[in-house]
Amino acid sequence: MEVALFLIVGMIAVAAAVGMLLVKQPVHSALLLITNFACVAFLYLMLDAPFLAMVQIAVYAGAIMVLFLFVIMLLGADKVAGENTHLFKQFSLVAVGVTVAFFLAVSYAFFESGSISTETTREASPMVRVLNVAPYLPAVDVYANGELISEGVQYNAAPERNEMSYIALEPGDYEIAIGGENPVLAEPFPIGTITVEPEALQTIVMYGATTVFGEGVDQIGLPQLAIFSDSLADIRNGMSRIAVFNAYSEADAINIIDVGSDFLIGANEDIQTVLADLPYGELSNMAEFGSGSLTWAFVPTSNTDDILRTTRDETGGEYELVGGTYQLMVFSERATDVEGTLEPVTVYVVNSAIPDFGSPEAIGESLFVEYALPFEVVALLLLASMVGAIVLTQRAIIKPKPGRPMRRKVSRPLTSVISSQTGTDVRTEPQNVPQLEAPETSEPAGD
Amino acid sequence: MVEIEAYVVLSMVLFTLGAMGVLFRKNAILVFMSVELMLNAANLALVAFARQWNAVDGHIFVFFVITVAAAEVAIGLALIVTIFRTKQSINIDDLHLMEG
Amino acid sequence: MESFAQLAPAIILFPAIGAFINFFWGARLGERNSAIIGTFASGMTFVIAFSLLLYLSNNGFRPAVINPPIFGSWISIDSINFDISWQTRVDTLSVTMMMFVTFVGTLIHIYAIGYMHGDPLFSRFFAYLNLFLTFMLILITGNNFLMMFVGWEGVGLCSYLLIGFWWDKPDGVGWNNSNAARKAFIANRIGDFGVLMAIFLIFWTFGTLDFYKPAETAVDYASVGHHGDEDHATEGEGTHEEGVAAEEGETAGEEAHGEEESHGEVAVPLYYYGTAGVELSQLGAFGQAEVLMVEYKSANEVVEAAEAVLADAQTEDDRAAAELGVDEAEAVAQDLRPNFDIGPFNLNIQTMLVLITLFMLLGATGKSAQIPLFVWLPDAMAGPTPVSALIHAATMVTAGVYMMVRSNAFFYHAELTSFLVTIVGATTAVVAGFIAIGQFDIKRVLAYSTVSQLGFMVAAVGIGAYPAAMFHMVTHAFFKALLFLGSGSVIHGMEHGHHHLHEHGHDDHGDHHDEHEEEFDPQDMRNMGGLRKKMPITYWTYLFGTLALAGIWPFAGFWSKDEILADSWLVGFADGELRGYIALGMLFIAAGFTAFYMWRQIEMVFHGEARHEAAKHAHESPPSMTIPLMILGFFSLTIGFINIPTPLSSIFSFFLSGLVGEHSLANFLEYSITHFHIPDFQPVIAIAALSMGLGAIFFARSIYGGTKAINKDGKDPLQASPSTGQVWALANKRMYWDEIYWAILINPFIRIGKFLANVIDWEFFHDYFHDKVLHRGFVTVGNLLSKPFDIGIIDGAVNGVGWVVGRISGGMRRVQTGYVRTYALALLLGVVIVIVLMLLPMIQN
Repeated sequence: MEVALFLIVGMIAVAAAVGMLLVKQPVHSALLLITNFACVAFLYLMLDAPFLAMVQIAVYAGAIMVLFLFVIMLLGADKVAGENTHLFKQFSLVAVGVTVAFFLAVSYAFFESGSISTETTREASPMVRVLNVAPYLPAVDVYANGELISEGVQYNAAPERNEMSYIALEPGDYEIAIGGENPVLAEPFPIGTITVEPEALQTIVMYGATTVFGEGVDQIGLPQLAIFSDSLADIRNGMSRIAVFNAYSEADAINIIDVGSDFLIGANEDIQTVLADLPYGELSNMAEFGSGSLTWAFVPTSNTDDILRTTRDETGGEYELVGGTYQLMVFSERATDVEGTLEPVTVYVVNSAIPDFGSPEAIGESLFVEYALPFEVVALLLLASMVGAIVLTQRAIIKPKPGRPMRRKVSRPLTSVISSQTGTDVRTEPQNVPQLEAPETSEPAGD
Repeated sequence: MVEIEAYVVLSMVLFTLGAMGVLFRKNAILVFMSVELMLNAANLALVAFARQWNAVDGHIFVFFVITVAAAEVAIGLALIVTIFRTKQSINIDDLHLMEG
Repeated sequence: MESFAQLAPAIILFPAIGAFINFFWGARLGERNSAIIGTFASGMTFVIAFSLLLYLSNNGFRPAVINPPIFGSWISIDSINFDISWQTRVDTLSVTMMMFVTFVGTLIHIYAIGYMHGDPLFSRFFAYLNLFLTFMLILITGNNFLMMFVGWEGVGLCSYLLIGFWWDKPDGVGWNNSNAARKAFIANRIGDFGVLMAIFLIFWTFGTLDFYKPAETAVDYASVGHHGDEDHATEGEGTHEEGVAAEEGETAGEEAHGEEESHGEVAVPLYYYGTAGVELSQLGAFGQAEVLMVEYKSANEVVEAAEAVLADAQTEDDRAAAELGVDEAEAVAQDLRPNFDIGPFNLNIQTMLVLITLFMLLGATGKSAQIPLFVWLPDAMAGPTPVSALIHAATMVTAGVYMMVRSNAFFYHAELTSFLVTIVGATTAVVAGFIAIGQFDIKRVLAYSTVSQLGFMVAAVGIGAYPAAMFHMVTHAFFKALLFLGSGSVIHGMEHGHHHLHEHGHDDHGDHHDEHEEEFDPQDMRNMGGLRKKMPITYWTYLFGTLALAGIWPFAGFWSKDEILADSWLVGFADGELRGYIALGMLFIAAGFTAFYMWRQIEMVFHGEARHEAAKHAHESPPSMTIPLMILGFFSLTIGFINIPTPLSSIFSFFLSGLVGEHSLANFLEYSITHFHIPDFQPVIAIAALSMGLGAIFFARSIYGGTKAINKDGKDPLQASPSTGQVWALANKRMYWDEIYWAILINPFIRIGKFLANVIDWEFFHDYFHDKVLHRGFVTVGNLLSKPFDIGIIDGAVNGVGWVVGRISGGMRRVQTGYVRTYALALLLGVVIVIVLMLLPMIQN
């Protein structure tokens, strides 16, 4: 089906392109090109690029091609008038040859040279995170195969929702060890082995405190380990995906029941069991819920009337679902006093869903984070082209202003200076140029 | 599931057709449209590879290419209009003032 | 007060900036702003000069040498260890000069605002005046001969520019003005040659051009101590004891001076020539001269002692031994004497000093208008009257005297030169005074009077009365500036009167008056008369100036002239030196002439009846002209009191102690002038001089009094009288001085010049050498080079390269078809080629 679709659409695209080249009327060419663009947009859809498909239709077919059509209509130059030029005699021949050579070269490069691989070689690096819900475990550094992967992981019994991020780790088997400030953990102490699956987001949970290690005040409880995959992708819009992990050691297995808004079992007859028989140290299946608040109660499977804990927090706040998230609920325990009495507690780890491949969210995230600077540059380019188009097509020609006329200064010629000194015009009577003479002339009105 | 190669071959065919359009058509607008066809062929290849690599970067490139193409069309058509005003022709073979 | 001395460089800066602004933007600034800028700059120099005076009086009159921030090493030649700094010297002598130069200069600036009003080049005039002040202050404040020479040349330049300021007046007047300017410039060049030679000799002799080195000025006066002169003053006038004064130690010797009976109180001794521990090279030129003269004299004493032994010798044996002793002493003395090689000559220090001072005298005769170079000064009256007052009466012409006073250490030891200086000065005083009697031009009379008074100063320098010369210079600056400005006021009034007349007459019978205008000379005293009532302020101030110049008690001139006469009396009668007698006699005669021609002028200009219509319509000048007159009139009366020979009453001395009183100026100058003497009041001389002046005035009044000043033929009474007509004619013709110069110098020079120009230059060089030799040879060589070489080889090579390039590019240009599709094809082809190139390695694999 898909292949047939591709073949049909691809053939239409090629036919439209060939037609575009062959028809005489530019308007027909433009329409054929629009057809081609539509086919390409369809192919985008097949390639999981719905956003680009829409852009292709809107911008290319809608805006650019309309511009083309508009210009064709505006100029009215349906037929190209002009002399029949021969660039050189074998131009057509050479052009066809070069084009075919190009096609062959690219084909060879693509299929035969092996330099362009078609196999899906990339394996997305798995991501892991470490959650510490073991009540007798202090803040520890977590090592995988001797390599520090998470530092200072606190015991987590916070009533508010946590958001934890992942770190990259190669797939494979790892020996997990813990180290820390406690003297008995001066050397990283191995607590178990896990297997990291490829291409997955995974959470490592340290829970329980079954084994006691160390002595006296340094004594700690060594936790158990569990690893499971988180599913952050492909969450439907507005839904929250919830998974529950049972880390409560006092009961073998637990049920989750929906008790209604009054949180009383006895008063409400239509109690629904949301989840039945979740063993200790296991993750439930995932389920998606719409918006609203949860009214769940955690009960032991052995005695479903004994509400261990509800989704209400200590202050009576309801647990509100947030759309587009993955919510990991860990039903665990905490120590209430020095004797080691444990009481149940729920820990919520909430992460935003990963957007779908090719969706507007995915493109927007990448565009505005990774490619913010090129985006700005392209915006500038668009602006410049807009201004350029306006300037190019405007008809008025601005005449340069004529420069302000300058007055030239002309110095007086020497002859006129001498003339004004002597009182005779030496320019016209050169024989009258004064000579030095005896000082009688400088005599002031003498006798 | 259609193999990626199919898309790439289609892209190559379209690109070659576009190049031939640039070489053989004398109408400047047709030349422009052929260029657009070539750009689209390249876009198709980019999207196909993006699907193959499961990386959204290819989409970003396509986005940029579309944007630049829009800018280019705005300027190019403005140039064509201006040329038509002065020469009353959009035959690109009439425009050989830069002859050496 | 300490920091006031640091202001000294700014005294040059202010007028320089003023000149700069007025020169480049003056025309745009307008008359009023130009005047404000110029006068402000000038006034600021006076303020600075006054603050420097305060500095001196608050620092024990200690000289200061200021190194300005720029020009720290003005001229420096490392290889010969030669370094001249642009240093400003602040000592009592330079400050005295600064005080009167800036004060009189400022008043003349104010005066010029009124006098030059309406002149098209008003701002340029003020630029020149400021430039003149700049150079004059450089001349005064420099601490070395080179700076002095810069100022010396600069004031000469400004003098030239200002004498010829009205070079563009029509009808030949401008031509005469520029001729006068050239005359002044050339006469000064001759003097400048002397100054340059003196500077070269000073450098050759002493290896420095500094007056005093900064180290010398740092000597503390307090450590020098006071000495009664009774112990030392054994040789009368000008006795000078120096050298390694045993009780003084190293830093300072002292000078005891004066005369046994001449003064009671000893001034603070001068400081510098302690020789012990001081290298000669650490001293300036004057200090070295003193030290070398001590060595020279001690060498002479050895010989004299030996000769005394020879004279006392009785027997033949003794005589023979004594002669041997004399020979030995001569040999010893020859080693002791400081000698200097100049070319083939080997001259001792005294001869060197005589040579130096002789060249200086030549410079002084040029700048200070003495015989034989005085002829330029009367012609310099062609310039505007403020210029005559500022440059050619009050300040610039005193530069020669200033240089000689500054170099008193040289002149004192060069007795021959001193004698010559006396002769020159005294002769100039008499000759110029005589010529002044025969002149009718009001400014020309004053010009000759200036020459005569400068003769007084030069003669005073000659007899060693340096403070007296300075004193006369100061007083003369005031009253001669007053007289010139007064004469300018008279001329201004006459011109306005004539203008007034002309405008009135134009309505009735214009032609007659137009002719009349061409004949009219507003400076001719024969056209004046009776101006006393028309211009009362001018008259009274002019009268003050006349009495001051004539030396009538108690005006300033009386005190200063009396000081010179008293000094010459002492030099003549007390020391029995010939130059004293000569100076006394001739200066007495000159003083008589002075009083006579000045009163003649008063009678002609102000008394009697108006002899011309213009004089009848003359009126008083504007306040900007009369106010400076009144200020100068006041000072003409009082400035003499800064140096009267007797103590003043206690009231004055209470208020103005240090400034006014017995020999205040002389005591003030004592810190700068090494050799000088202060005469006591000489009643005989004073009474004789006063009676001479009064007698001459009465004599002049008897001849010119009332309406007799000019007789009906327009002649001077002396001219009309047969007994004196010949003599008067001699004076009127200026003793044919210019004519003699023309006959013996200028005409032969012109003849030589014409010969050189016509025969040597034109006929030989141009007609023969140039045409026949150079031109023909050049053409021949050029022909040879041009045809085969230039056209054949060089042009061939260049054209060949051009042809080849043209062919190649002609072929290549076909690639550029201009068709877009071709380019697109080429582009695609390029892409294919690149892809193939990239694929090549893979294909091979």
